[in-house]
Amino acid sequence: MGRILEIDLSAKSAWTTPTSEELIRDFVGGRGFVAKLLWDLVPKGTDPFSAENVVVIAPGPLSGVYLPGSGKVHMGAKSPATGGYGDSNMGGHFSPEVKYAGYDAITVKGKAAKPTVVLINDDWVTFEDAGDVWGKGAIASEALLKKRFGEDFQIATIGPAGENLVKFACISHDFGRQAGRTGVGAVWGSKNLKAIAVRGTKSIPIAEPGKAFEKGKEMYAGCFHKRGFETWTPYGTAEVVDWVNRVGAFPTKNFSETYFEGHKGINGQALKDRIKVTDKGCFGCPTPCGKYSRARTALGEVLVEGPEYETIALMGGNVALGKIEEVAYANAVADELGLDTISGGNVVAFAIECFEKGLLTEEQVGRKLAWGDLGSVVYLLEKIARREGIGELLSEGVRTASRTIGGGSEKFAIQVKGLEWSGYEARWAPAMMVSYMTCDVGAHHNRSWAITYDVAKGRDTLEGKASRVIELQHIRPTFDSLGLCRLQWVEIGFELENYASMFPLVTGISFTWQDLLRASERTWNLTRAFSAREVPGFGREHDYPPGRFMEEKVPSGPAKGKVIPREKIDALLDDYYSERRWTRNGLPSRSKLEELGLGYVADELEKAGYSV
Amino acid sequence: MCLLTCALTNFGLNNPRYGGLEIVPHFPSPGTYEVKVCQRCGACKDACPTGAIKEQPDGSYRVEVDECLGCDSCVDACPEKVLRLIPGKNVAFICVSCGECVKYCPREALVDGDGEVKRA
Amino acid sequence: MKVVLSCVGGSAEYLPQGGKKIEVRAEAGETVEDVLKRLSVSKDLFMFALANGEKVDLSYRVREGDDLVLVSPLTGG
Repeated sequence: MGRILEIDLSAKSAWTTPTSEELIRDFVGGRGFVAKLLWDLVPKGTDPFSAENVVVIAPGPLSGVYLPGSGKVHMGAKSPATGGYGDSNMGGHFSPEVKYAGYDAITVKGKAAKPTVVLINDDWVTFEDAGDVWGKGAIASEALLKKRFGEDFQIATIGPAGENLVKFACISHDFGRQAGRTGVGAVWGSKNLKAIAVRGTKSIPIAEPGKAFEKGKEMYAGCFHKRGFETWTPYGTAEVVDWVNRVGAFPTKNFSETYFEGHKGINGQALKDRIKVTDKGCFGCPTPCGKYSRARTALGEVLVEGPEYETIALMGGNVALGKIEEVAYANAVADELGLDTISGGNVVAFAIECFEKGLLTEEQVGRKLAWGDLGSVVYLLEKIARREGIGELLSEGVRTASRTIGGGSEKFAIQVKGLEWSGYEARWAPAMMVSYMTCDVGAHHNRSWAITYDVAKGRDTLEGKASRVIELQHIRPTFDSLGLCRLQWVEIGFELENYASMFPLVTGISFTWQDLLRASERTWNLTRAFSAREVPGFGREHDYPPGRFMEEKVPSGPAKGKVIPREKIDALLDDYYSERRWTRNGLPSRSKLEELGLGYVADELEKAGYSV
Repeated sequence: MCLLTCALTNFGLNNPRYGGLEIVPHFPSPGTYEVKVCQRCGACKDACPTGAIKEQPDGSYRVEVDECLGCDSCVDACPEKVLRLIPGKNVAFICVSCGECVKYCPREALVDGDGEVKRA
Repeated sequence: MKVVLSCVGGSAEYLPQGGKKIEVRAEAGETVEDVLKRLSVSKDLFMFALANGEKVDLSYRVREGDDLVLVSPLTGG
């Protein structure tokens, strides 16, 4: 066990307390710690951009340890995009470095008097002037900070978008990795926090070091011999582009269509043949998913880590860009500005559709917008990052923008809870639809990726779908709590049991995989409750998908004619809440909360006026 | 993983900074990594003020633990930057050619003295 | 003729044999898609296949003794 580092930017102070075993047993680490610390430390009703909001950064008990995928860190805060629980995850090398400095979590509250870099060098925490990097791009800032402090510091930084409080600003690290969603970057910006630099020279205390090392070596060898090992790395996540189109789930033109004619120009083969420089991975990874690329377009040449599948979906099909070079260019622009490519692509597509329908004029925008036009995309991203002109409204995200623009645009503001929908359209995939609707941070795919379940069990049936989603919503975030990447399990079928047997060797706590899932369920209920506490009137109404998905039939392609009308959405939600033992309005029931040891949460929800 | 494999194998330390290799990233441009390993050049031996570093029959160099002052001269002199001062013991470590790094590199980017990769 | 069939990735759990290799019968001229149809397995559970280590799409015509590996979609996130 390490320590929890608490930083106060207003007071310029830093304290540590030992991580309690109880916290680890109840919440494991990573995402679990983020959930619990936010619940405890963020005062009810806090404005996400005020000094009272708290940023939590948490690696997991297995981060930095010798086993595959041990490089992930979880970050969270009350989200400026949704007003509720927000978190995001990122790879690279930040997580292990935090562990080597001796910390299981870092909390940051308050607001610095001027732009600041928090420097964590083992036990020494100092507050450095960020004057020379404030205003600079995220990639450029990382390079400058590494030069200033040393190559052996791991840097996490925001770009201009975060500094300007854009609601989908991200945190960047390792020249191309991001904690992208829910606007965590904007929360850092509101605290005048430009970057955190960490260096750690300690060894991580391990309960049974000899056995853990042997198990770790066994796990690596196990990965090397998995039959998927050689096949998936060269292609990376872009390889799934053709398949998603084939099954009619590819976001196209602001999710109006679900098959993109030009998909072969932006698939894995195009990436590999035309722009890839090298594979790039995170700490401890045997199967690097990252693809570092060099792309040339009419607007210039860029080097960028990516584009990943999500970026290809949202900044490719969704804005109708059919050349991988152009998607990579847009990716690089977003990365340097410090903007989430998922929300970014979604917001830009929304703006283009509004322009097409005459709801935004050329005068309001400052130029003409069009589908398949890289210039339109880049123009909007830059305006958004600076909150200039039309960028001011768009920087609020599609939910708020559509409320102001009106004219029926709320139906095609593709979001849930205020977070823009990511890379899988779901009118012909009910389980995936439920996944997006019930994901705790808003419309994100990572908690439960369920499209093949829909394909296997019937894409038009609703039965059993909610069940499967709930199961995945416990398994997948367990990795976020352990501080690990799940791609070795997800992509090459590396067995979950391995992670379960590693946990006791490292922590000395004899948990089974079932115990870990239990902690995951506890975290799930807690994050739902946090959103309920912070967002008045939270519940079922916040779980609906956009009007487009309930009312417009897919016009063309493999999913032509498909739509999931409101009655079916309601049936899916009823199923989901009933199985989770939540109320009909979608709040965790008292009996469920007490079963998970969260009775105090039920008390808080009742105080907030909910009946549980 | 080569660094952490080395640090754990040779010292039981769970921190890759103590591994006897050096990885040099070149980002954002051109986007490549260099891996440096001991080339058995002998610069460490030449720099050592106490003669604690001795050439072995197989051409590698080894530190006499009792004679090492922990002065960092060898660490600074190494052109590959792969020598490490081990915390706690305050003794320099030079790659002992155990080959574990080669076994665990997932990309087979390292080769052993015979130019081969023996994967785990 | 006979071919060897197996699966890598998430879709393996939807096959009765999971990820294990099994021997299946195939008619001359059949594609991977045809073989899957006969096994009542949806071709949409897979991105592509490897035939004796080479990447092929599901319209590849199988040959005697082929070692076919069905590759599941990457599920990212």
